[in-house]
Amino acid sequence: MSKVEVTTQSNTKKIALSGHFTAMDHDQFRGILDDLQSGQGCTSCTVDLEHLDFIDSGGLGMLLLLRDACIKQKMALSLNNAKGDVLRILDIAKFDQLFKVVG
Amino acid sequence: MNPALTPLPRIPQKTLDTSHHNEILGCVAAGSDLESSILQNLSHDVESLSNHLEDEISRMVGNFMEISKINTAQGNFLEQVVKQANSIQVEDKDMNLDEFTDFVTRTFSEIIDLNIFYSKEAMNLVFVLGNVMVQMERVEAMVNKIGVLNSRTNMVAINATIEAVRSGAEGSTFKVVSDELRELAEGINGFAHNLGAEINTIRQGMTESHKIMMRLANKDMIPQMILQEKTERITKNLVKQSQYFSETVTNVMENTIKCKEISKLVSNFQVQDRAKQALEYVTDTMRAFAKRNTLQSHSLEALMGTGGDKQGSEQEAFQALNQGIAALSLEESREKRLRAFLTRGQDGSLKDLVGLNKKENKTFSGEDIELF
Repeated sequence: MSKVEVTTQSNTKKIALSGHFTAMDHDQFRGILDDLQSGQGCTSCTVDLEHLDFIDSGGLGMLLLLRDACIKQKMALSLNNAKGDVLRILDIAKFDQLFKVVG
Repeated sequence: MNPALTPLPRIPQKTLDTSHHNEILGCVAAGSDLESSILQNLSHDVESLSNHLEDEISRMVGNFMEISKINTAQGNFLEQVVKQANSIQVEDKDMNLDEFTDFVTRTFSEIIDLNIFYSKEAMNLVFVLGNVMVQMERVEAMVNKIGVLNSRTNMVAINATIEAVRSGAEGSTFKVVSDELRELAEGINGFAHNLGAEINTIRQGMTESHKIMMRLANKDMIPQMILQEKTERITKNLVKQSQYFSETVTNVMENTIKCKEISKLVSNFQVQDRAKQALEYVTDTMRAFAKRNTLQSHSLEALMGTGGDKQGSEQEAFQALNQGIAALSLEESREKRLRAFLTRGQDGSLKDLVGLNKKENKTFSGEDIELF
């Protein structure tokens, strides 16, 4: 299970993921999506992956749903600080073609 | 002074008169015989050399022709190898390596895209089912609420009926309404009960669907994606190796073709025929000279009659030859060889004269070649 922390700074919503981000985390991530879709005046969203050790296909799927939600809300989205296996998986999944991957 | 230019030692001059005619003729005849003998030996050796040369060159040409044949076969084989290395059969269709690499890249890319798509849609469905289940719980709560309200309505209707009965005839109309209300409450109660049962069934189905979807969503496709990515890289490396192999084989094939051309060229030289022809001219000339000398010697012997000292003249002729050889200032071994070469086949006195034993007195062969 992943630890998910959500903070808002000025107009940016920051989602920090750590540990293992898998399909099992759907409940808390759905809450984030619902919250995002309700619209709180944020113009951008960043997902910090610095402390994320593992992501499965369900996790990738949830990031894609987050992307859809951001597009719907006209929010910029970026995936930050991915490294190691997570970065490799993002690379294999060609997420750099879908997201702004930073760091 | 250069030793090669050392003048021949002078033969002591004799006073010539008619009594010396036979002696002079004998000397000339012996010289002619010696020359004839040497020329015959030379022509024999040149002929042997010519035959030997012809055999060796023929063998060499034969070998080159064999090499040419082998190279042709090897070239054809390598051509097949290059053709095989450059193409791969996929579904009864030949693809070159670039097409194959594109095909593999495209296929794996599509598979990975599909995996990502399914992952996203699976999670989407999990969320949708989750939301529906929440909605179902709300609806269930509403139905329960209807049941509670209906119970209260029923209670009110019963109370109204009791009050109508108490009121007697005046309350009879009111009793009809309260009875209707009670019947309606019972109907609603039945309906709410049925609705609750239906909603419960749907909720169970939704819960089961959610569980199934969760099981699917939990099937991690990342290992397959990594495997596909690895397979793609391995395939690309194999294609690279195959291309390198193909280039190497092509180089070998080009070298083989060059070897074949060289072999053909050598095979077509016909050097043995030309050499043999040239050497035949030499032997014919030498034989002609030998014959001429023999005839000359016979004529001189006829002029001399029988009283001439031919034996003595032969000794002098060989002495002159020895002096001539000595004047060349050759190394000892080489001088011996030359003497043996020029004088072999003569009688015992000659062999003693040149100082060689019988073993060294043999015809030409490849083993006699002096190496420098």
